Amino acid sequence: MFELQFSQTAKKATLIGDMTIYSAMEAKHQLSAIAQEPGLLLLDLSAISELDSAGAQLLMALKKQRSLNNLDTTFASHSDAVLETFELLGLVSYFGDPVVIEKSRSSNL
Amino acid sequence: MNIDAALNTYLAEGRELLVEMEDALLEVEGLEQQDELLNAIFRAAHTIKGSAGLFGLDAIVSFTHLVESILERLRSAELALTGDAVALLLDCKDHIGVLLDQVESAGDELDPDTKRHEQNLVAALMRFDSSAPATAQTEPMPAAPDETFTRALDGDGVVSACWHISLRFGADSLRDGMDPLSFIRYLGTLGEIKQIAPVDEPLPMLSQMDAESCYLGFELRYLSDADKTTIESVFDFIREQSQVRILPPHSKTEAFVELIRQLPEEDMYLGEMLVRCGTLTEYERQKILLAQAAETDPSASRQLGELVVAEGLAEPEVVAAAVRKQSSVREAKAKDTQTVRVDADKLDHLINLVGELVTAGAGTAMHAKWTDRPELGESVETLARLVEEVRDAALGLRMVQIGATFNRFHRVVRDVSKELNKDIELMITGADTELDKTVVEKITDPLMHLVRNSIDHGIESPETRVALGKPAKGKVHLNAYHESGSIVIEITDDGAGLNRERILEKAIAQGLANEHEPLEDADVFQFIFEPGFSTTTEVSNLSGRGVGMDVVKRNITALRGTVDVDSRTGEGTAFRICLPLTLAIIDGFMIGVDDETFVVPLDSVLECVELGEFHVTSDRRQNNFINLRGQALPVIFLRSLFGLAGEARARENVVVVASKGAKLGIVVDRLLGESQTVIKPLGRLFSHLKAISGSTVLGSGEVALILDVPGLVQQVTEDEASIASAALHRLTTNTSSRGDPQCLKI
Repeated sequence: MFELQFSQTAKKATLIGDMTIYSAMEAKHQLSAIAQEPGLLLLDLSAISELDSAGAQLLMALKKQRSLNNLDTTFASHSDAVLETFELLGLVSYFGDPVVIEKSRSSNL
Repeated sequence: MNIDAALNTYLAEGRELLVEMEDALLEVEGLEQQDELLNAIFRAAHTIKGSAGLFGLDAIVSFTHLVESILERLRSAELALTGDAVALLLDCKDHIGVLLDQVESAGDELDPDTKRHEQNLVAALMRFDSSAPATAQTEPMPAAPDETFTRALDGDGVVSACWHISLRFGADSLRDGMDPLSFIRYLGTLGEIKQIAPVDEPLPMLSQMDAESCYLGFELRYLSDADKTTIESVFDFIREQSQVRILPPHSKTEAFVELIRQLPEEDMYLGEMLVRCGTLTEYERQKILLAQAAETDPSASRQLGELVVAEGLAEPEVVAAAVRKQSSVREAKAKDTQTVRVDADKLDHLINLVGELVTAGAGTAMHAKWTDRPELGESVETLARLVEEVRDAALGLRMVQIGATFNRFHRVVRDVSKELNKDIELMITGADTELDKTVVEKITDPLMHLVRNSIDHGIESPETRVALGKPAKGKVHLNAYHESGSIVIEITDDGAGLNRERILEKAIAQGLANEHEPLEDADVFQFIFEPGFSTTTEVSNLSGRGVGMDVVKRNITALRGTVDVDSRTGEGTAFRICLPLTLAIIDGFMIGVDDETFVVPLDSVLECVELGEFHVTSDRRQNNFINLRGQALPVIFLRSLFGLAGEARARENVVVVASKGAKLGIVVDRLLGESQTVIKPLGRLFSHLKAISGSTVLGSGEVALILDVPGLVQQVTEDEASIASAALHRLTTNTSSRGDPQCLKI
């Protein structure tokens, strides 16, 4: 299951649950809703329990679309599942957001 | 900055890098921790290549590139750094130096010998490259050997020692359950993903995308020992609908041109991707894009134009990258040595000025002494101290440590001993001994000859040594130290020593010596410095042609130095080169006889005693001695040596000086104390004067002569009384016109 909670005041979207091929349609739908949000948008990834390529490319598309419109997007508080996928796909440097890297994984970079 | 100036800077930096490279290469062998030095070597080669690319020096780029790829593999431990490898890399380093010289002399074509040498090196590099450890490479290198050879000569293989994999997943991959994640994860088990860069160009706007379609693509740099089939098999399941391109390490640029053409994305974008994931260097990318432009058919002229424009646009970026790299190199260097390059002429000018300052200061001090004003005396003293410090600092600028020169001999010893199948260790001590830079430059060649000589003639083959009960490993020792105002450089070996009989025989045969004349060992050994003198029956590549030792001696004599030989049969030979520091200014000790003032270098003065306490004895050759604390000290009376007028004073003083371990007392009327002395050489008219090494202008404007202490000591201690008396006679006659200072006016 995928869920998105958006706080207008904090400009912060918290993504919750699975972001996989199974929930991709739903996730795309919800992310589209905030894609035009003006100013800096913060996405909290701490509650994502699973992220696959389908989910990852949604995040890429979101960031790409927003940056084409000169809108900033920041991903924060990456969960372990998110970090693992990001690292495998080279997305950590692609997105360029600061991540907390535990010692055990730093070898992968 | 015009291009010539830039090129000169490049050449200068290139040579410095080569020196660093050589040092690192010599040090790295046999070291446990090689990483750091290998990195340094690699960086040097890489920087030389990169900058050569900017200047379009293709010969350097292509050759250095090859060296660099070997270094890359050494660095990633795919190849082992053996002694042979070091030797090969040293040769390559030399060849790069030759190529740099070529650029400087602006000759376009390499001469045939150099060209052949380069081809041999390239072939050797290739052999070494393919001698990777047995575990790796179950499949042969993708290119056939001779093809590889051409490729290397053309220099169009890429530097990277990694595989390059381009992945474009089919749109249905995700729906079919083929998640790109799992392939990449699996790839990670077969090798190491060095870098992965996602390709986001095909990715549409969020609103327009089908969330279940796959738009992903990746460029990977991948280090693995696995062969191509194994790596390909990873992607068996998606081969049908996805694009998978795998390029082996060091692929040709053509392969990349092909890759870029096949992939759907825009060329420039792809080129950047390849650079970003580290497969291509910026230079390689440029080259590939150019090749691409050339390949494009004329009908697509617009595209060609675009590429050329893009090429032009990319240029500043390359330059910027190069500048960044150069400035970081420069920073590192600044941290290393903190040096400023100064024109030697400027330095000489400074030292001349300081010389004038010293003379002027001495004059001021004298006038202040005459003027009875204590406060003036005080400030003049402060001034004098500062002048002295300025003098030391200015002279120090010219001084360099001899260590850098000594270290060069590591390479010589290594190469020569290898050529002769000898096992020789070079020991260096006193590397921090400083001497004038011009002297260092001039002494290098003589030193080189002596070291080669020691290795070639001195040290025996390991078998002979073992048979003689010596350690198989021979030893050559370079040592330097300061001794009473001179610098002494010793080259010692523990080899066979000089053959006294053979030298004497030869000397007699050549009419240099008389059969019946008894000769000291040292005198016999001096014959080896005669022109055309060689005792070796066989002429080797290195020495033994009888040319050289006379040149060595001549070079050293030209520096006002001497060279002595000491040798013991079976134990070794020691060459001792003694050079004046050739400082323009020295600390002098002024002494007076009659109305004349003389200067002795303070460094050589041991002590001063009053003559009155001693009884002067003379031997039958009219040499005078005093008994100084139980030792016979030869003394000379300066008054009689120079035939000065006037009566000896009631209280005469003895200045005890030393040179090369021998002591001499100089009897004078007055001790006038220390002063800074600017040495002015005597004119050629006086060049044969043995007891005087120069002159100086005193504060009063008078001229004082500087005594040549080593020369005096040598004369007096020489056993041959005839020589000494003849010299004395000569001196007296030559200085008969003394008291006529105009002849020395400067």
